[in-house]
Amino acid sequence: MDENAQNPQDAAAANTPAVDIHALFDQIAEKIIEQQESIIGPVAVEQAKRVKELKIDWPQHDVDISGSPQAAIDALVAQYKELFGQIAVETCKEAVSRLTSQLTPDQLPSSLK
Amino acid sequence: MIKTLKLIFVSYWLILFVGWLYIFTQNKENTDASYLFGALYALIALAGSLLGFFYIARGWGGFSSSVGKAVSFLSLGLFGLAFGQLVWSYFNIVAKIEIPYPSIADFGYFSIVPFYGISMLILTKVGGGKVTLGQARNKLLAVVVPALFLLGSYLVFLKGIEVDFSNPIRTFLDFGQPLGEAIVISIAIMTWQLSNKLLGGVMRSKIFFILFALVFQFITDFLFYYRNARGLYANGDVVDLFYSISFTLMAIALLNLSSQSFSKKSDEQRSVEEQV
Repeated sequence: MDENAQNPQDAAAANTPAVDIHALFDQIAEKIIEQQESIIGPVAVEQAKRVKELKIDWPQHDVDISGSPQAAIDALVAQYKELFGQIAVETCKEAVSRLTSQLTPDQLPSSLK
Repeated sequence: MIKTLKLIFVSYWLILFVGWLYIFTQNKENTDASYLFGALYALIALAGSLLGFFYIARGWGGFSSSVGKAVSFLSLGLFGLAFGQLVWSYFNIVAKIEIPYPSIADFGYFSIVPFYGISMLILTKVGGGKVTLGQARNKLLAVVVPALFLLGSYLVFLKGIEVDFSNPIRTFLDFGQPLGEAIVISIAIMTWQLSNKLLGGVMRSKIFFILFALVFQFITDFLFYYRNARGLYANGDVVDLFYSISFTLMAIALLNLSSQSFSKKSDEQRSVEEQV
C-alpha cells in the first residue's frame, strides 16, 4: 500500500474550508439583533448594547464579541427573552439556524439548542 | 412621564363618570348635557391616538418594525373612533340630529375593522401565532372561532334586516360593521389562544391588556348595535359610558407599550442585580 496515500476522511477535512469560529459567532449575534430589530425596532439594538461581551457599531452592522462567544449569545438571547419570553428564543433560533448548523454540538450556545 | 399620563387619563375619565352619573340619575339622555358628555369622552381617544402614533409607536421604530406597526395601526383605529365620536357630537350639538346614522361619523367607527384587524394579525405573528398555528387543534380553532362569531353576529344583529339597494351606505354599514368586527374579535381571541403558550416576558401582560381593551371595545359596539336596532339607544345612556371606558382602556393599553418605560424598568432591575 502506498504510504503517501491519504485516508479519505482526512482528504475531505483538508478540502473543507476552516470555519472562523469567532467571525461566525459575530455573524450569529448580528443576525439575532437584525431579526429582533425587524420586530421591535431600535429597542433591539438598545437591548443588545446591555450585553457586556458585545461591542456594537450598528450603523455599520458591526458586532464584535469579546470573551466567551457562547456566553455572549446566551446573554443576548436572554435580553430578548426578558421582553417576549420563549417566542423570542424560538425566533432567534430560527434566524440563525443556517449559521448554527456550521457549529459542533459542544460549540452551540445553550440558548440556541 | 407614562405614569403621569395614565393618571391624567384615569382622572379625566373619573370626572366624566361623575358627569355621566348626573345624566343617568337626572334622566338627561338626549339633552345638551349628554351631547357634551359624548364630545368630552372623544377627547380621550383623540389624545390616546396622537400619543400612540407620534410617541409610543416611534419608540419601536414606527412602521419599520412589527411592534411599531401594530401600535401605529391601533393608534389609527383609536383616531378613527375619536373622529367618529367628534363628528357624531357635531351632528348632535350643531346640526341638532339625535342619531346621525348613517353619517360620515361611521367612516371613523368602521375604520377600526381594518386598523385593529391588521394590528391583531401583526401581534399574532409577534406572539408566536405562526408557530402554534401549525398544530392541528389551533388550525381547527382558527376556522371554528370566526365562524361562530360570524354566525352569532348574524343571528343577533342581522337576521331580519333587509338589503336595501336604494341606500347602499346604510346597507353596507348594517352588515359590514357587525360582521367586520366579528372577524376582528375572532382574530383577537385567536391571538390570545395562539400566543398563550409561547408569549412571555414583560410584553405578555401588555399585549394581553390590548386584547382585553379590544374585546371591551367590541362588546360596547355590539351593545350599541343591539340597543340601536331596537330603538333603545339614547345619547348619554349606558352605551356611552361603555364607550368612554373603551377609549380609556385602549389609550392606557397604548401607553403601557411605551418602550421607554420598559427600558427604565430594565435599567432599574439591572442596577438591583449588580448591587446584589
